[in-house]
Amino acid sequence: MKISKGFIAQLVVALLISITFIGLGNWQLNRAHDVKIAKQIVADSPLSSLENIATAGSNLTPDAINRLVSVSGKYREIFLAPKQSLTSGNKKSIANLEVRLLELPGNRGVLIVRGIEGLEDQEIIGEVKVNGRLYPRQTSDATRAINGDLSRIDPALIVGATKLELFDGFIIATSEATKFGQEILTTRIPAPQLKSKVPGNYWQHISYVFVWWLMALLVLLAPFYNSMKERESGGKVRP
Amino acid sequence: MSQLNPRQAALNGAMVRFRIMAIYAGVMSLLLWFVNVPTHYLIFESSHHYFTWIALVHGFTYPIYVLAAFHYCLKARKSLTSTILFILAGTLPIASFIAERRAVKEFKALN
Repeated sequence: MKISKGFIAQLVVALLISITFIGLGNWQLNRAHDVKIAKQIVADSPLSSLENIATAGSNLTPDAINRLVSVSGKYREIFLAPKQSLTSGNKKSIANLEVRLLELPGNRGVLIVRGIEGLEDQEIIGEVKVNGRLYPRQTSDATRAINGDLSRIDPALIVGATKLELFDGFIIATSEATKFGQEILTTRIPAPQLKSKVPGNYWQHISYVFVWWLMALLVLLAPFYNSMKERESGGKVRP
Repeated sequence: MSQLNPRQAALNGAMVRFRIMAIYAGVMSLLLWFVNVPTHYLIFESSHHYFTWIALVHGFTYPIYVLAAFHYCLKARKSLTSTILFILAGTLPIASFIAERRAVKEFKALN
């Protein structure tokens, strides 16, 4: 059987396209896996001290993000973070948040999101123990920065306003107490675990895997299409 | 129903399967492009979870359309280019309806 150069060229092209389609199928398979991982509920690690999982002046490590932390210090500055997006279950809302700079021993500081902005600033004197969840700094503005407000919750925005060495990220407080153990009340906001936003549905991606792999198979058949066609007509009715 | 000639009889089964899948794929494409995608990216984003089934069902049933189109084109002895176009017609709204009409026209013209 003689194989022509044209047929070999067709076969090579079909093979290359087929490999590309298999790669696209694998990509969808990886995305399905990512969706599955992203939607898994991860149990919270035990509460730990902020100093044990992060260092002032350094970027947060991925392991530190989402951790429940405890920190003690004195509030120094009050900021407003307007128009912050809040998510509670499937509901989304916008709120102005009260953010305070907590001074820690050793001339360090961390941003604490206490909750929804109140009508008046609550006066909190003395040492405070804060429990909450550690989040990475926000990277996109929620609003325009005016009158010293925080356009996003990011320690980099207040570096010029304090001499403290700041921890990266911020803590959303779930509870605060004085050094005597008295709880400080305010309107808290939810502090859910951050989930990576991988769009799509697991089975939807799996279905695309089948589509791409089927296409890869059909492309591989393409060089043999004419012979299949001849066999089809040869066995049955001829035109 | 009029009597089928031998060529039409040989093609009839593949033709019926292709027609059913072409109409089905056309309806699913319309839903995907004009309901699922707009609610995901443009309007009523909060209602998108009601429509996730569209992409899911379309994704799992499109391969059946592909196989039906491939089998029909092979039986009808279409060129490779036509076969590719018939297969791709399932991804665009309206296109699979056009492919179905064209197939019916060609089927009737067989002698």
